[in-house]
Amino acid sequence: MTLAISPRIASSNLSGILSLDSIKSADRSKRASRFGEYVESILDSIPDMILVVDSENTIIKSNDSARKALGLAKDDISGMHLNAVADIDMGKASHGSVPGTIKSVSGQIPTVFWAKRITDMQGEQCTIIVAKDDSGMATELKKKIDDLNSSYSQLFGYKEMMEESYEEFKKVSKKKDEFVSMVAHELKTPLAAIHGFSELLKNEKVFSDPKTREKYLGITIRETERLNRLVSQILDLSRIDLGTMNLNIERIDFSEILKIADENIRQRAEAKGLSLEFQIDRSIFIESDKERLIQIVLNLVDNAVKYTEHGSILVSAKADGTDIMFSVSDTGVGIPEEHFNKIFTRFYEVDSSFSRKVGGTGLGLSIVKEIVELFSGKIWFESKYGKGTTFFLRLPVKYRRPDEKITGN
Amino acid sequence: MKKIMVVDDEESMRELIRAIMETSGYSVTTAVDGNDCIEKLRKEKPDLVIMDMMMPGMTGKETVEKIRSNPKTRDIKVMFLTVTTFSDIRKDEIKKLTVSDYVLKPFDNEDFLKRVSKALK
Repeated sequence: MTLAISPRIASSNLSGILSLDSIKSADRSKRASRFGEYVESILDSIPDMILVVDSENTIIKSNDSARKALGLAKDDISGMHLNAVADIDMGKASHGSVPGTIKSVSGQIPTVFWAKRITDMQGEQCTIIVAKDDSGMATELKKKIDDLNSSYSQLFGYKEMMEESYEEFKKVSKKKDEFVSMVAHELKTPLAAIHGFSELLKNEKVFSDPKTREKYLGITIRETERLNRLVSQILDLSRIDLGTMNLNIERIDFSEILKIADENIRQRAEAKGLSLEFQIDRSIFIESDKERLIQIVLNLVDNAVKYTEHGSILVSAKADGTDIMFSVSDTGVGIPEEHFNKIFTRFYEVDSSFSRKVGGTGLGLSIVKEIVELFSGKIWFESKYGKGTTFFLRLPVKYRRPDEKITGN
Repeated sequence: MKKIMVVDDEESMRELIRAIMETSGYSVTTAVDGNDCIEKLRKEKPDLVIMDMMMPGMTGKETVEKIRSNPKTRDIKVMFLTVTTFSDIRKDEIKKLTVSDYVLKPFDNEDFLKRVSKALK
């Protein structure tokens, strides 16, 4: 047997030399207990929680951190079963790190356990468990997940917005396509007539017959005028859509507008045997674009003449507070109720074969409505099929853009 | 004398085709839209129907479908008139409707007559 005594101890302790065996055992136990203290203070200085359990999972040792977390004194914790203080699957824990919870004074703390099974000096199996508080990590992880979630929902929001915009774009684009195809149709039809009748007129036999020639030339001129009207209206719509319609706002006497309409339309009305009456109590002044105002009034009065075969047309204008109330009443064909909500739609005509005959393009009213809205006005109608129609127009006398708020005065 | 029915909501187109056809010795009747056409086909039996594709109410295609679904009018020859240069002339659909030909507006009068006589053969 060899003795492992340091020379310093041997030399300072003479009795050790005298009674080597007794010195040896006393020193050993003293050192062992001191070593135990060292170990304990080392364990207590570790911030991680440390528990040692026996083969039955009864706690036989603990460190300060563990006791503090569990709120237990050293004497209380020894002998407790592991299950009373921690929720951990020991079967898994013996193979390395495993997550679980510690039943601490402040509730359940998410914990990462690391366990090592050893055999102690007495040959007993025990397990050293190191438990690391995971709540900090968990909080951080949770925060990251929350951040991710909010970014995701934000992204999802964007995605939905994009999808909505895309749907909107598709709708607008489809409407535009339909419009272009309608425009092509509307433009090509008079073109086809002009082309065809011109070709027919090239024929000597056709041309030499005055009646036929008159008829074909008449259609050609009529279709040219229609084409011209269509192009102007399409340009108007395009300007409205692009927001580039220039308005020259000036102070206008509304009775002057009615006079112009009268001069333009009276002949046509009287040719059909219709009475045309204009009613205006006095001069009403309005801030507006003269050309556009004439366009609106002419369109409405012209429509009334076109769609009326018998009776009368009454055009009236009067001041109503800060507005002008304008109306055009006829005793014409009227609008069937099923067409009420489509009357201002582009290219919409109640009876296209009839309206074509009277020179309609299906764009007039849609343009009127859009210009009226540019003047912050309102247009609507009342109609009884077979009895007649009245179009009403309310325009503010003081010009304001559609996006301008109404001020107190 | 071959009988032609022109179906177009445009008066000027009806007038034009009538003028072209009549100077070439055809007999021409007209209808102002799909419904009018179906109605008139109860009494008339034209050799060829020249029909505009884009009409208010029933479209040209819908009208032809109706003509084809009636045993009495099923075999009437149809020629389409259209202004369309877009892809809505689906050849497979036209084939399904057994339409003889389709003519784009505006057209050349001579070419139009040639196509009509070809369709009538």
